[in-house]
Amino acid sequence: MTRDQIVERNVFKVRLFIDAWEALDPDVAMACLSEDIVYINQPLAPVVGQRDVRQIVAGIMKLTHKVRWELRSCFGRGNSVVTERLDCWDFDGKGWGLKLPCIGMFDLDEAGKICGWRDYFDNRMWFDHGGSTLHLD
Amino acid sequence: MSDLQWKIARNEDVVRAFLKGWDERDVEACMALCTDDMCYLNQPLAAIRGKAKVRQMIASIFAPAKKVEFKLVNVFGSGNKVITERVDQWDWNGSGTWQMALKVCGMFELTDAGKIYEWREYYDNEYWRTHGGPSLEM
Repeated sequence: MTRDQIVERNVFKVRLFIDAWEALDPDVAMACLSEDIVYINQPLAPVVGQRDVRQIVAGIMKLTHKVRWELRSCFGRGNSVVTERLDCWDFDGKGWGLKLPCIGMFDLDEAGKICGWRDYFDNRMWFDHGGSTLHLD
Repeated sequence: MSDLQWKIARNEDVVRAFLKGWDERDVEACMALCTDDMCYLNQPLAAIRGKAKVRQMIASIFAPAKKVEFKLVNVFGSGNKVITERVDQWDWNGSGTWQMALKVCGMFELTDAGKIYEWREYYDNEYWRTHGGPSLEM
Protein backbone atom coordinates (compact mmCIF):
# COMPACT_ATOMS: atom_id res chain seq x y z
CA MET A 1 0.00 0.00 0.00
CA THR A 2 1.16 3.54 -0.72
CA ARG A 3 1.24 6.11 2.08
CA ASP A 4 -1.93 7.69 0.68
CA GLN A 5 -3.69 4.32 0.63
CA ILE A 6 -2.75 3.67 4.26
CA VAL A 7 -4.14 7.07 5.30
CA GLU A 8 -7.31 6.39 3.29
CA ARG A 9 -7.73 2.99 4.96
CA ASN A 10 -7.18 4.53 8.40
CA VAL A 11 -9.69 7.34 7.82
CA PHE A 12 -12.22 4.75 6.61
CA LYS A 13 -11.72 2.70 9.80
CA VAL A 14 -12.21 5.75 12.03
CA ARG A 15 -15.42 6.64 10.17
CA LEU A 16 -16.60 3.06 10.62
CA PHE A 17 -15.92 3.39 14.35
CA ILE A 18 -17.98 6.60 14.48
CA ASP A 19 -20.81 4.88 12.59
CA ALA A 20 -20.74 2.14 15.23
CA TRP A 21 -21.18 4.76 17.95
CA GLU A 22 -24.17 6.23 16.13
CA ALA A 23 -25.62 2.71 15.78
CA LEU A 24 -24.90 2.17 19.51
CA ASP A 25 -23.27 -1.13 18.57
CA PRO A 26 -20.43 -2.02 20.96
CA ASP A 27 -19.45 -5.14 18.99
CA VAL A 28 -18.82 -3.27 15.75
CA ALA A 29 -17.08 -0.47 17.65
CA MET A 30 -14.80 -2.86 19.52
CA ALA A 31 -13.96 -4.74 16.30
CA CYS A 32 -12.33 -1.51 15.06
CA LEU A 33 -9.95 -1.50 18.04
CA SER A 34 -6.79 -3.54 18.58
CA GLU A 35 -6.32 -5.94 21.50
CA ASP A 36 -3.91 -3.49 23.16
CA ILE A 37 -6.05 -0.39 22.56
CA VAL A 38 -5.18 2.62 24.77
CA TYR A 39 -8.18 4.93 25.28
CA ILE A 40 -7.61 8.24 27.03
CA ASN A 41 -10.16 10.90 27.87
CA GLN A 42 -7.66 13.65 28.63
CA PRO A 43 -6.68 14.30 31.37
CA LEU A 44 -8.15 11.15 32.92
CA ALA A 45 -6.19 7.93 33.35
CA PRO A 46 -5.76 5.68 30.28
CA VAL A 47 -8.07 2.69 29.86
CA VAL A 48 -6.09 -0.15 28.31
CA GLY A 49 -7.09 -3.33 26.47
CA GLN A 50 -10.25 -4.68 24.83
CA ARG A 51 -11.93 -5.85 28.03
CA ASP A 52 -11.65 -2.59 29.98
CA VAL A 53 -12.35 -0.33 27.00
CA ARG A 54 -15.42 -2.41 26.15
CA GLN A 55 -16.70 -1.88 29.66
CA ILE A 56 -16.48 1.91 29.24
CA VAL A 57 -17.77 1.99 25.65
CA ALA A 58 -20.67 -0.43 26.26
CA GLY A 59 -21.42 1.38 29.53
CA ILE A 60 -21.79 4.74 27.79
CA MET A 61 -23.83 3.24 24.95
CA LYS A 62 -26.18 1.52 27.39
CA LEU A 63 -27.06 4.86 28.98
CA THR A 64 -27.53 6.57 25.62
CA HIS A 65 -30.86 6.87 23.84
CA LYS A 66 -29.39 8.38 20.69
CA VAL A 67 -26.05 9.83 19.61
CA ARG A 68 -24.75 11.66 16.57
CA TRP A 69 -21.12 12.65 16.06
CA GLU A 70 -21.07 15.56 13.61
CA LEU A 71 -17.70 15.59 11.89
CA ARG A 72 -16.24 19.02 11.39
CA SER A 73 -12.82 17.74 10.28
CA CYS A 74 -11.46 14.29 9.56
CA PHE A 75 -8.04 13.71 8.02
CA GLY A 76 -4.92 11.68 8.52
CA ARG A 77 -1.17 11.61 8.18
CA GLY A 78 1.11 8.64 8.70
CA ASN A 79 -0.64 6.35 11.17
CA SER A 80 -2.71 9.11 12.83
CA VAL A 81 -6.22 10.36 12.08
CA VAL A 82 -7.79 13.43 13.65
CA THR A 83 -11.51 13.95 14.11
CA GLU A 84 -12.88 17.33 15.11
CA ARG A 85 -16.44 16.74 16.21
CA LEU A 86 -19.60 18.01 17.79
CA ASP A 87 -20.86 14.98 19.72
CA CYS A 88 -24.63 15.27 20.16
CA TRP A 89 -26.02 13.10 22.96
CA ASP A 90 -29.59 12.26 23.87
CA PHE A 91 -29.46 10.36 27.18
CA ASP A 92 -33.15 10.38 28.02
CA GLY A 93 -35.12 10.50 24.77
CA LYS A 94 -35.85 14.19 25.20
CA GLY A 95 -33.51 15.53 22.53
CA TRP A 96 -29.86 16.60 22.41
CA GLY A 97 -29.13 17.36 26.03
CA LEU A 98 -25.43 17.65 25.32
CA LYS A 99 -23.59 19.00 22.30
CA LEU A 100 -19.95 18.44 23.16
CA PRO A 101 -17.16 20.04 21.11
CA CYS A 102 -14.42 17.46 20.95
CA ILE A 103 -11.26 16.40 19.16
CA GLY A 104 -10.36 12.74 18.94
CA MET A 105 -6.88 11.72 17.84
CA PHE A 106 -6.55 8.12 16.65
CA ASP A 107 -3.44 6.01 16.06
CA LEU A 108 -3.75 2.93 13.87
CA ASP A 109 -1.53 -0.12 13.76
CA GLU A 110 -0.12 -1.88 10.71
CA ALA A 111 -3.19 -4.07 10.43
CA GLY A 112 -5.40 -0.99 10.25
CA LYS A 113 -6.89 -1.33 13.74
CA ILE A 114 -7.22 1.60 16.10
CA CYS A 115 -4.61 1.14 18.84
CA GLY A 116 -4.66 4.66 20.34
CA TRP A 117 -7.67 6.89 20.94
CA ARG A 118 -7.26 10.20 22.74
CA ASP A 119 -10.30 12.43 23.17
CA TYR A 120 -9.94 16.08 24.16
CA PHE A 121 -12.95 17.97 25.55
CA ASP A 122 -14.21 19.84 28.57
CA ASN A 123 -14.89 17.14 31.17
CA ARG A 124 -17.14 19.37 33.27
CA MET A 125 -19.40 19.89 30.27
CA TRP A 126 -19.66 16.12 29.79
CA PHE A 127 -20.45 15.31 33.42
CA ASP A 128 -22.78 18.28 33.99
CA HIS A 129 -24.95 17.32 31.03
CA GLY A 130 -25.57 13.69 31.83
CA GLY A 131 -22.36 12.03 30.68
CA SER A 132 -21.58 8.81 32.51
CA THR A 133 -18.33 7.65 34.09
CA LEU A 134 -15.23 7.58 31.92
CA HIS A 135 -13.05 5.51 34.17
CA LEU A 136 -13.22 2.08 35.74
CA ASP A 137 -14.28 2.24 39.36
CA MET B 1 5.22 19.04 -5.00
CA SER B 2 1.74 20.20 -5.98
CA ASP B 3 0.46 23.65 -5.11
CA LEU B 4 -1.80 22.16 -2.43
CA GLN B 5 1.04 20.15 -0.87
CA TRP B 6 3.17 23.28 -0.84
CA LYS B 7 0.39 25.22 0.91
CA ILE B 8 -0.12 22.51 3.52
CA ALA B 9 3.63 22.45 4.30
CA ARG B 10 3.67 26.25 4.50
CA ASN B 11 0.61 26.24 6.78
CA GLU B 12 2.30 23.73 9.10
CA ASP B 13 5.35 26.04 9.23
CA VAL B 14 3.14 29.03 10.09
CA VAL B 15 1.45 27.12 12.91
CA ARG B 16 4.82 25.91 14.27
CA ALA B 17 6.04 29.52 14.22
CA PHE B 18 2.88 30.66 16.02
CA LEU B 19 3.42 28.06 18.76
CA LYS B 20 7.11 29.04 18.96
CA GLY B 21 5.80 32.54 19.71
CA TRP B 22 4.12 31.05 22.79
CA ASP B 23 7.37 29.42 23.94
CA GLU B 24 8.99 32.85 23.67
CA ARG B 25 5.95 34.65 25.11
CA ASP B 26 6.15 37.07 22.18
CA VAL B 27 2.63 38.38 21.53
CA GLU B 28 3.62 40.40 18.47
CA ALA B 29 5.34 37.42 16.83
CA CYS B 30 2.11 35.45 17.29
CA MET B 31 -0.20 38.20 16.11
CA ALA B 32 1.86 38.83 12.96
CA LEU B 33 0.76 35.36 11.78
CA CYS B 34 -2.97 36.04 12.24
CA THR B 35 -5.63 37.87 10.21
CA ASP B 36 -7.30 41.03 11.51
CA ASP B 37 -10.59 39.15 11.92
CA MET B 38 -9.00 36.15 13.61
CA CYS B 39 -11.17 34.04 15.94
CA TYR B 40 -9.74 32.29 19.02
CA LEU B 41 -12.00 29.70 20.57
CA ASN B 42 -11.24 27.85 23.79
CA GLN B 43 -13.98 25.21 23.66
CA PRO B 44 -16.59 25.49 25.13
CA LEU B 45 -15.96 29.10 26.21
CA ALA B 46 -17.11 32.11 24.20
CA ALA B 47 -15.20 32.93 21.02
CA ILE B 48 -12.77 35.86 21.08
CA ARG B 49 -12.94 37.75 17.80
CA GLY B 50 -10.65 40.29 16.19
CA LYS B 51 -6.92 40.86 16.47
CA ALA B 52 -7.14 43.49 19.23
CA LYS B 53 -9.11 41.25 21.60
CA VAL B 54 -7.08 38.14 20.80
CA ARG B 55 -3.86 40.10 21.44
CA GLN B 56 -5.27 41.26 24.79
CA MET B 57 -6.20 37.70 25.77
CA ILE B 58 -2.87 36.17 24.77
CA ALA B 59 -0.96 38.94 26.55
CA SER B 60 -3.00 38.34 29.70
CA ILE B 61 -2.12 34.63 29.58
CA PHE B 62 1.58 35.38 29.08
CA ALA B 63 1.66 37.97 31.90
CA PRO B 64 1.80 35.57 34.88
CA ALA B 65 3.95 32.94 33.08
CA LYS B 66 7.63 32.58 33.92
CA LYS B 67 8.39 29.88 31.36
CA VAL B 68 6.40 28.06 28.66
CA GLU B 69 7.22 25.10 26.47
CA PHE B 70 4.73 23.51 24.09
CA LYS B 71 5.64 19.88 23.40
CA LEU B 72 4.32 18.87 19.97
CA VAL B 73 2.91 15.35 19.85
CA ASN B 74 1.40 15.66 16.36
CA VAL B 75 1.33 18.44 13.76
CA PHE B 76 -0.19 17.83 10.33
CA GLY B 77 -2.34 19.63 7.84
CA SER B 78 -5.00 18.94 5.24
CA GLY B 79 -6.54 21.52 2.94
CA ASN B 80 -6.47 24.82 4.83
CA LYS B 81 -6.42 23.15 8.27
CA VAL B 82 -3.59 22.15 10.59
CA ILE B 83 -4.11 19.99 13.68
CA THR B 84 -1.74 20.22 16.62
CA GLU B 85 -1.77 17.68 19.46
CA ARG B 86 0.32 19.06 22.30
CA VAL B 87 1.39 19.02 25.91
CA ASP B 88 1.55 22.69 26.96
CA GLN B 89 3.98 23.05 29.88
CA TRP B 90 3.73 26.11 32.10
CA ASP B 91 5.85 27.40 34.93
CA TRP B 92 3.82 30.09 36.71
CA ASN B 93 5.94 30.58 39.83
CA GLY B 94 9.47 30.59 38.46
CA SER B 95 10.48 27.47 40.39
CA GLY B 96 11.89 25.88 37.23
CA THR B 97 9.36 23.05 37.33
CA TRP B 98 6.20 22.68 35.25
CA GLN B 99 3.16 23.24 37.45
CA MET B 100 0.96 22.50 34.47
CA ALA B 101 1.28 19.99 31.64
CA LEU B 102 -1.92 20.58 29.70
CA LYS B 103 -2.91 17.94 27.16
CA VAL B 104 -4.59 19.80 24.36
CA CYS B 105 -5.54 19.70 20.69
CA GLY B 106 -5.62 22.89 18.66
CA MET B 107 -7.21 23.08 15.20
CA PHE B 108 -6.01 25.96 13.03
CA GLU B 109 -7.54 27.29 9.83
CA LEU B 110 -5.47 29.45 7.49
CA THR B 111 -6.24 31.74 4.60
CA ASP B 112 -4.85 31.20 1.10
CA ALA B 113 -2.15 33.70 2.00
CA GLY B 114 -1.09 31.58 4.99
CA LYS B 115 -2.50 33.64 7.87
CA ILE B 116 -4.30 32.04 10.80
CA TYR B 117 -7.96 33.12 10.87
CA GLU B 118 -9.39 30.57 13.28
CA TRP B 119 -7.93 28.67 16.21
CA ARG B 120 -10.05 26.19 18.15
CA GLU B 121 -8.59 24.66 21.31
CA TYR B 122 -9.93 21.50 22.98
CA TYR B 123 -8.85 20.57 26.52
CA ASP B 124 -10.17 20.21 30.02
CA ASN B 125 -10.91 23.67 31.44
CA GLU B 126 -10.98 22.48 35.02
CA TYR B 127 -7.43 21.16 34.65
CA TRP B 128 -6.38 24.57 33.29
CA ARG B 129 -8.04 26.44 36.18
CA THR B 130 -6.74 24.19 38.93
CA HIS B 131 -3.14 24.20 37.69
CA GLY B 132 -2.53 27.93 37.74
CA GLY B 133 -4.10 28.97 34.43
CA PRO B 134 -5.44 32.56 34.33
CA SER B 135 -8.95 33.48 33.16
CA LEU B 136 -9.66 32.79 29.49
CA GLU B 137 -12.73 35.01 29.35
CA MET B 138 -12.76 38.66 28.29
